[in-house]
Parts: sequence; C-alpha cells; structure tokens
Amino acid sequence: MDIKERLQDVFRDVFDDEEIVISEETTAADIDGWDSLTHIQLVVAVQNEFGVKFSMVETSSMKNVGDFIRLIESRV
Amino acid sequence: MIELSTKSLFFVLLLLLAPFVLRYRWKGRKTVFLILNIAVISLAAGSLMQLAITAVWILIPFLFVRFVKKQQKLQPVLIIWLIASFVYLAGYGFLFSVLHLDLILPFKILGLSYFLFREIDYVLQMPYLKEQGYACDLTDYLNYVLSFYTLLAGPILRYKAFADDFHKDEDQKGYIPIAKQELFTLINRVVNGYFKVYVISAILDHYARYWFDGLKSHSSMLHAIVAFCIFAFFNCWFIYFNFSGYCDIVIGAAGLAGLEIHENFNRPYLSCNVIEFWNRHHITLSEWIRDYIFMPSYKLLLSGPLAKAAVAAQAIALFFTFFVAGIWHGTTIDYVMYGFFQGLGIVVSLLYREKRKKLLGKQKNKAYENNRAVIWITRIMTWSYISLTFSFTGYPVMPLFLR
Repeated sequence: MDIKERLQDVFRDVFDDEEIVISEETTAADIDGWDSLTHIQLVVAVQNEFGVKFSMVETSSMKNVGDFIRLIESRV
Repeated sequence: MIELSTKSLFFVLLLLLAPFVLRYRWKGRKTVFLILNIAVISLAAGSLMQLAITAVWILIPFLFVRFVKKQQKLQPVLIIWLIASFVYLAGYGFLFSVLHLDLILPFKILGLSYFLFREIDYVLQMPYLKEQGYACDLTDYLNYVLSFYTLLAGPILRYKAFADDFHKDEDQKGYIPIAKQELFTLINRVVNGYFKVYVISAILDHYARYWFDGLKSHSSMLHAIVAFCIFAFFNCWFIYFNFSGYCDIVIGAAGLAGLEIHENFNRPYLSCNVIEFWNRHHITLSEWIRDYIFMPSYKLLLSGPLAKAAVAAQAIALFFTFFVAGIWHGTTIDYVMYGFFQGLGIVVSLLYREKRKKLLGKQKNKAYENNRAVIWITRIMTWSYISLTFSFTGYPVMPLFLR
C-alpha cells in the first residue's frame, strides 16, 4: 500500500466513515467532522501509523491531505 | 475601552495619513513604518523607564532567534521566561497577594498581552519559516511586534501572515492605487467602527455601569438577580460593539494602507454552543490558543496517558486552554472565574455533543442540529451563558458576591 492508501485508512478510522476517499487537495471543508479537535486525533493517528513525529508548527500548518503526504514522505 | 482623548485623536490622524506613506512602494517603506510604530509606542508610554523595559522585553526574542544556536532545546526556557516576566510585568494582583510580593513597577506596559502572543509565535515559527526561505531583520521584527494597527487589542497577527502581506507587491515601484469601490467600503467600515465604539458601546456601557452600581444597594435577592441579569445583558453587548467596532476601525484603516488584518468576529452571539462561540468571537485569539496551548496539550495527552480516551483528552486540554486564556484577559480574581466558566462551558458543550452523537447516530444527530427550533433554543442558551460569564470581565463581580 502506498502512503495515500494508508493515509485514507487512517482518515476512515478517525472519522469513522468507510466512504471517505481522499485526494491531495482534500481539506477540512471536504470531510464532515474535520475540525481543530479531530485534526489533532488525525495527526496522532498518522504519527502512530507511519512511526513519525510532527512538531507543533508542522501540526498546525497541515491544511490538506497533500501537506500530510509531503511531510510523511520527508520523514520515512 | 477606547476613550476620546488627545492620544486617540492623534491615532485618528495617524490612521488617515499612514495610507499615503504605506501605499507608496520604495526601499525605505518599512523604515518609515518602523518610525511611525516607534512614535506611537513612545507617545503611549508614560515614562522613559517604561519605554526601556518594553524595548528590552521585545528585543530578547529577536536576539534569541538571531544568535542562539541550539534553539529547539532552549525554546521552552525562553517561553517560560517570557510567560513569567509577562505575569510579573502585567501585575497579577491575586498571585502577588498569594505569594506576598510587592509590585515593583508602578505602571502597566501598553499592549503587553498582545506582545506576548506575537513574541511566542515568532520564537516558535521562525526556525520553521527560515527553512522555507523567510528572512527577518530587526526592522521587520519590530514592525511585526509594534504595528500600531494591532498594538492595543489585536487582532493577533502571525509573523508569516504579516511578512507575506507587508512585503507583497514589492517588485512594483511607486504608488499602489486603490479602486473607488474598495476605498468607499473601507472608509465606511472605519466610520461604522467609530460609531460602534463611541456611540453604541458608550450608551451600552453607561447602562451596564448603572445596573452594576445598583447591585450594591439591592433590597432583596430577587431584585439583585434581576439587576445582575440586566447588567449582564448590557455588558455583553457593550463588549461586542466596543471590541468589534475597534476591529472594524483597524481592519478598515489597515486596508486603506494596503495591509490585510484578519477578521476577528463572525456574528458570535448566533452560536449554538460555547465551542462554536469561540470559533466566532475573537477568532485570532481562538486560533492562537488552539495552535499554541490546546494542540500541544491535547497531543501530549493523546500520545500518553489518554491514548484510548480521545474525548477525555479533549475535555482536559480544552478546559486547560480556556482557563489559561481567561486568566490572560486580566489580572484579578474575576478573570480566574471567567477562565473557569469558559473552560466549563466548552467541556459541557463537548461532552453533550459527543453523548448526543452516540445516542442519536450520525444522521439523526445532523437532523437534530439542523432543526430550527433547536438552533434558536441553543443560540439563546449559549448567549445567556456567555453574557453571564462576560460579567466577570471589567467589573469587580467576585468582591460583590463575597460581600
């Protein structure tokens, strides 16, 4: 599985929605329930899934799926 | 509250003249802005001593970012020092009385609490921004921290947003024109802002004070409760019109100068719960505390002791965040209560939302949230709660209760 597919599984798990399909342009506006609270849950779940760590500034700067993918790629 | 005085008239003059200087692109533009900013802070400071302490407190974060090599390790030390010195300089009365300390500085530094936000943002963001190619000399830094548009009461700018905005169009030379329609819209916003501050909020303030003073001589408990509710009504509308009016003035005036300041209000009293309220009221503060207090504390709890209990972690982190934010608003015991009630309101809103989601399921919960009757009932409940908690800001409510 590539990064995007694994990330999609994390999104489905965090937002409890098996229908979610992500693209690099997907933002909080496209996913029901993606607010500042679930954003942190998402970041922690991504950290656990990929075995990476994001700083405080990186956590708040990730605005879309593409940002997640680029940061993960730079770490793994 | 903004009061009509010689200083505020000088501020009006500055807002009117600054666009002519700041819309003109040339290499000395940021130096001119710095001169204006230093002139404002110098005029506002009560003494040379006050100015010197302000200068030292502002310069330390810049020197840290510029010259300290192992910044990541030392960042927490600097942040703790900034917060501790802020508490000292702001003169938190209840802390000083608990610790039996005397206040040494006989003055308050203008804009101190907003300096703290900008300084912490700069220290934490700059190493990351440097990697992205951002540069920041002393003039840029001082313009960011001292910008007269946001000096007194925000909105809270981030360094990245400030730098992107201030340095845009720098490849152009000469005067950057403004469209007629935009010019009228911005002037209209400034005039509306002054009307909100000096007319509407002045009237509301008068009645809030009248009803608060009446509380000292109430004849019965029922009379006191009714009087307190009327006071809370006027006070919460005063806060909205005064603060949003001030934001209209600075956002409009900065727009005339070609600068963009983020919006700070989005009809907050139409919120259906306290969480939504803080997404609509003082938005830039909410975003700052979300990024720098809530996110790290929530992440810490989720990565550690509450890994399997997201809602409990959210509740603890949210309460802590809004309690701290409440105390930041002021230095008396009333603001501790204000922080406590904001934290409590947020946690209750969160737990109720989560419980409801579980009980109703996704679809039914959505239908419930979109029900017009539910929307209006929850709006009224939220506004009532917020107006009661706002009573703790600006008025000595706790001494009154204790009496």
